[in-house]
Amino acid sequence: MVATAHALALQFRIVEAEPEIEEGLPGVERDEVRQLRDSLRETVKARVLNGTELIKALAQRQRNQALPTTLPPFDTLLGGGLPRGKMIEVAGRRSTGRFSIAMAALAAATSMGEAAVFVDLGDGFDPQIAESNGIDLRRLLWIRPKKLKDAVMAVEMIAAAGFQLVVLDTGSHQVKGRVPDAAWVRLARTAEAQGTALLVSTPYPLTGTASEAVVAARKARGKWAGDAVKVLTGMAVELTLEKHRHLRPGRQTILTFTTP
Amino acid sequence: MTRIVCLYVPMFPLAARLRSEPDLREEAVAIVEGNGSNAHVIAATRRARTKGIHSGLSLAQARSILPKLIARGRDPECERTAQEALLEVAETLSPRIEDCGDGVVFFDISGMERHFKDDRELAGAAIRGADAIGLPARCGVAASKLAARIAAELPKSPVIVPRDGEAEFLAPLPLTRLAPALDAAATLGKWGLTSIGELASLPESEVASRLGELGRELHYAARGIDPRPLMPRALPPEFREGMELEWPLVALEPFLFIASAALDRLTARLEAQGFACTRLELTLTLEPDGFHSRAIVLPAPTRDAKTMLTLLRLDLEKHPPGAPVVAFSIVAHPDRPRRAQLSLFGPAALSPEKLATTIAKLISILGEGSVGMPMTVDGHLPERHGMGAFDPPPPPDVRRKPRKSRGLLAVRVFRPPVPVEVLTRMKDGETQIAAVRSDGEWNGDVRVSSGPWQIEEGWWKEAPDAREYWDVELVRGGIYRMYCAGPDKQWFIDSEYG
Repeated sequence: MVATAHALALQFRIVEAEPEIEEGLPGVERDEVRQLRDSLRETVKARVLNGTELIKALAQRQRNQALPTTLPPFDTLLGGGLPRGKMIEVAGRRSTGRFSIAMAALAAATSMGEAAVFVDLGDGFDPQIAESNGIDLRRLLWIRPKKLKDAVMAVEMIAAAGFQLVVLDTGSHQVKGRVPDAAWVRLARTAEAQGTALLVSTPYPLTGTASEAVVAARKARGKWAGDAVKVLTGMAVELTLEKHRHLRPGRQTILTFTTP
Repeated sequence: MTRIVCLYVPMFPLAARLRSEPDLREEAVAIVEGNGSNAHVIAATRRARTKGIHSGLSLAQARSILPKLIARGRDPECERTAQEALLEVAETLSPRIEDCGDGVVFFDISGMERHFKDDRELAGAAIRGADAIGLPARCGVAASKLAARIAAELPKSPVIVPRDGEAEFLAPLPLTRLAPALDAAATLGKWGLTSIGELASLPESEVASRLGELGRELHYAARGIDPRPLMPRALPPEFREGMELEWPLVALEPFLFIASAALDRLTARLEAQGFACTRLELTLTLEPDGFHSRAIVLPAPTRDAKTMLTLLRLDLEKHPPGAPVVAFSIVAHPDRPRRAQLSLFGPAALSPEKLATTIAKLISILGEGSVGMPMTVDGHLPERHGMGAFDPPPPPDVRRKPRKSRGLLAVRVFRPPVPVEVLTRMKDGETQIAAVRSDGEWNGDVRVSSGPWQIEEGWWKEAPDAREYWDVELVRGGIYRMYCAGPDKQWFIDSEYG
């Protein structure tokens, strides 16, 4: 019995976090399983799950994990990365690093093996640059709508298909078209229902109260090297947490990008 | 020993029609053949038969008996699709099937003993299968096609002819059962023969010498021996549903209502065969003449009738037929559906069918070339790009850690490039860009400029693409990539850093 318990403990050690399992899941535990569970030591018993419990625990654990963008200042600002099931808005005028943040998020997600979507209202996506930025193009779905209404509709449909990261970029200047505020609320609910991390990149705030957090990108300055002949080496941008449902707003950080 | 099953649908033209219009099942309906005064009843529902309608009556006679009789003409499209559906039911039970048309299908069940307890259980499964597709079938099982066919025609279905008992089974039956369409039965009647058994008891050579080759075949058949073996058919390359409409349709909604039922039947048939639809073809017959054909290629095989209906709707809205529709046929090209193995510990896998239907809907709404996988293209010009079908590889079994980001500066390209005017100046012997002028927001003095970098592509062409690229940062904000090209040195902003 001790050997069995040890094997079970090893088997389920992969569930690192303590799963919050509801007591007495109906109809999933047979008498023999219950007897076996009762005969185990407390430390082992807490980790032993049946298949249904394990799937639920893993799904919950995955849901609680944020999706990192691997840009440490940005992830820290949001408390670990893009939260799954939430809508995050990054607003900033031209050349404020929004596009680079989106590319970094897509590169991180696809490098983890997740399929991701880039809804490109501004039609500014370049596959060559995306690949050099580390995006696995095979796992990326590129959608090029012409109007904001189509873009929002596409995000809603594609999030419902089960993608874990959807990035909506509305372009660098005037957004083409308008959608009612309720559309953003519906997007946020779809993301929540599907556990999708939804990043909205806009030149000015659009999502209103529907988003979990709003990050403003400002004061971007290029970094240039050389005296007589200048070479662009990167860019620095100031990020401010304008709104967050669980974190104190007003926090600021400097995000630096370098040219490839 | 060979065992042959015959699936037989009595009054097939009526059954096929009721399959396409199930609302008429409880009504007094007659199927008529011929036009004008030649129109005569060939089949009628039970409700009509109880009122005295039977086959052979002219339509005028039938209407005089029952004025509220619903008359429908024979619909070849309905009958063909019903026959295909019946064949598919047989295919679920045996790979060797012979299509005899008009609601008759033979199939060989030799070797099926391990799957079914006995022949009666198998025959019951065949009847239930036909019932599931809306066709009331009868079933007969025997060692020969003829005996199986005659057994299937008997009212108490299923009828199982015992092994080696074909001759005994046929013997008491009247000769008209043997070949109802032939006059030979009348000739044999004149000889004083009334039953199949009496014919079988005659010497074969005597019958053949008087009736020729036909007599020999009849004698074989009377003894329960098939003159021709079962001839299996090849698997169909496509699935088809359709029907002729009672009156021309001019609006989309009523047509989609009918097409929806046809798609439901089509997906049920695909599912029964383990297939999914990879390409949908719609052919509309127009009034007074002409056809309107549309083909919809699905990004991945699907069996979702709702999605197919949505795609049909969107396609017909974009490409209306332009004339009233009097008949339609929908063809589904089959393919194996994609399967996904879900992982407990890896990233969530996308459902292939759900993904395919979503992408198909998006393509139909946003247009071709708007949805897909981005692809790199060989070359030197920065604006090159390609798009392919999105077919992601399966996710890893265990979730990987994200690759550490280098914090690279990305570039947002402008399609098409924005034409601008540029003011240059000389500083320390170097050319610099002093200001950018345009009608839009790309207007202002330049804080820093960097360049030029030269790109040339297609040097072997008469007019190669030769460009000089510059990076500029405007005083009012914004870092852009610009180029100067062409014989008249036209300037463009082609992308924005950030």
